[in-house]
This record gives sequence, structure tokens and C-alpha cells, in this order.
Amino acid sequence: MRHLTPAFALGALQRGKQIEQFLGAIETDGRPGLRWIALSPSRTGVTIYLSEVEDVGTDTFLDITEFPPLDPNEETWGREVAVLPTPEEALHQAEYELAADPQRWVNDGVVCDEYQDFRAARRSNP
Amino acid sequence: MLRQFFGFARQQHLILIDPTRGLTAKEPGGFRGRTLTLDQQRELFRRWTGNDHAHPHEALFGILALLHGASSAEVRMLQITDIDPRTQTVRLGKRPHPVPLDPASWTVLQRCLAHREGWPTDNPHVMVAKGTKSGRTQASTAYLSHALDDCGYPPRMIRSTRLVDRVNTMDPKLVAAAFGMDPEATLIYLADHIDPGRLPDQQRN
Repeated sequence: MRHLTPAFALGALQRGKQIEQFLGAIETDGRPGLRWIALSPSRTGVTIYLSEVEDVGTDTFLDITEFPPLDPNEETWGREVAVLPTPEEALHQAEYELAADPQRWVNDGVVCDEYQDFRAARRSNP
Repeated sequence: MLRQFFGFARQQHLILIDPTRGLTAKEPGGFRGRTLTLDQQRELFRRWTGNDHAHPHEALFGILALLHGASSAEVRMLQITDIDPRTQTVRLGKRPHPVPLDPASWTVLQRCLAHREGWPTDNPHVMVAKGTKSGRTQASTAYLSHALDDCGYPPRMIRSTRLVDRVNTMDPKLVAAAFGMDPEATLIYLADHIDPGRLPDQQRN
């Protein structure tokens, strides 16, 4: 089971672990891209990072963390959207503001597998 | 431009259908970010290897990105057991081979380890922050994202400088193998590059 239940997602954040979610395809100024978010806990709270990258993936190149960002000045971890004091508030904000699905959080580094599934689904249903 | 033209024509009822509607303009993918000039690289090298009082974490993250193309994830994940003092190498991320460190990088690493020894911790990672010293997790993305703030250059710019340089002067496949990257990931850094010898005016010389 790749996806974390809401309770497991909360538990991961409380243990200081980062969680991620692939949000799917986007289009910015006519340019197709991909979007995902990461929730990263630290001493100061939980930071929400939003990444928007060019979709340059292939069947063998699935590491979306290496895809070029749509904004060339964006960092590899994305754009800092907000810092929330508690994991609960961060999850709520991500789900409310960025349309994250509470059932589709994954552990750190697993977002590439989500992208692979997205590619397969897109191919079977273009 | 084309979209604006046909949008205007459609608005003015000069045409019935905007032929650009629904079209997406796909620009050539590839690296479009900024890189450091040689002088900027020298300035940073001196900052991290001299007695500039840069924080040991800044110096380690910076020098590994600048000289070894290390990503923030590779630096965050680096553990004490990944260091081989005998061969002066470190295991970085998914790289298939240990990375031999030059004397400057090795000195910066030793400075970081000395800083770490001042903190009583069982955390196995080289970079231990206040928030992680009592646990075993790696430093947070948030911590690393600000580690280079004082040097004035963003981490991606520093790492990209090395990747662009390596990919454009060596075989991208070799760079991919050395840096533990997907070969297609290194090709991103070849965008807009033409070997000077292939340009017509260069061939005449």
C-alpha cells in the first residue's frame, strides 16, 4: 500500500518525516507541466513546498525532482507556499488551498512512483 | 504573438474561428536557469575554504554542490558511515561509486564533523540541526533551503553551474554515471548548447 492513510500522514509529519503528493498535470502560459507538493516538518513548523516542472519524462526517466522547473529560478524543492505551526494545520492548508487529496499522501521520495502511474493512466486514457 | 493576432481578428469578426484556440506552444524543454560566473565561483570557493567564518553546514553544502554537483537531498542524507577516511571518499545518494574528495572539500567536511562533535547526538547524519540532534532523521528540507542564504546564491544555481559545465565539456552519459543521475536528466543541461567547433565561422578558422 503506497498511500498513507490520513492518520499515517499525520504521524509521519509528527515524527519529523517529509510527505509528498503528486497533483497532476498543469498548464502555465500554454506550457504543459506537472505539479506536486511536499510537506516538510522542521523546528519552526511544517513548510509546504509547491513544485511546478516541465513534463520531460519518458518511460525510463521518471525522476520528477530532476525535471526543469517552469520557473527557471525555482529551487529543486519547489516554492515555499506557507509555514504552518502544526502538522494538522499544514495538512488542512494543503488540502484546502492546493486541492491535495487526504487519501493520496506518500512518503518522501515516492512521488516519482506516482508520476509513473500518472503516465500509465494517461497512456491508457489519453 | 500568433494567439494575440488571431484573438484580435476573432474579436473584430474578421474570422469566424480562432485557429490557435486549444493549441499549446511547447517551448523546447531544458535548463534555462542561471549559473555562476568564474569570478563568483572563486569568491564562493574562497568563502567556504578560507577563514571566512561561514557556517560549517553552509560550507559543506556549498562546496559539495559547487565541486561535486551534489543535490540538497544527497547532502541531507549523508551519514557518518558514508565517509571513508582511508580513501578520503564519501558515498553520495544513489551514486554508484564513492566520490573522491579533493583536499579542499575534505577539509570542509572535517570542519563540519568537528562542529558536529560539539553536539552530543546519536543521529547518524553528518548534518545535524537543532531540530534533529535528539532523533535520527536527516535535517529538514526547510533547514537546507536556508543553509546557503548567507552566501547570496541559491543552491540550484550553484549545483547547476557544475552540471552545465560537466555535461557540456564531457560525455553526458559519463556525467550521469558519475553523478548517479538518469542519462536523460543530464541531457536537460545540454539545452541550447552547440559545440563551438560545429559553428560555421569556427570551422573556417
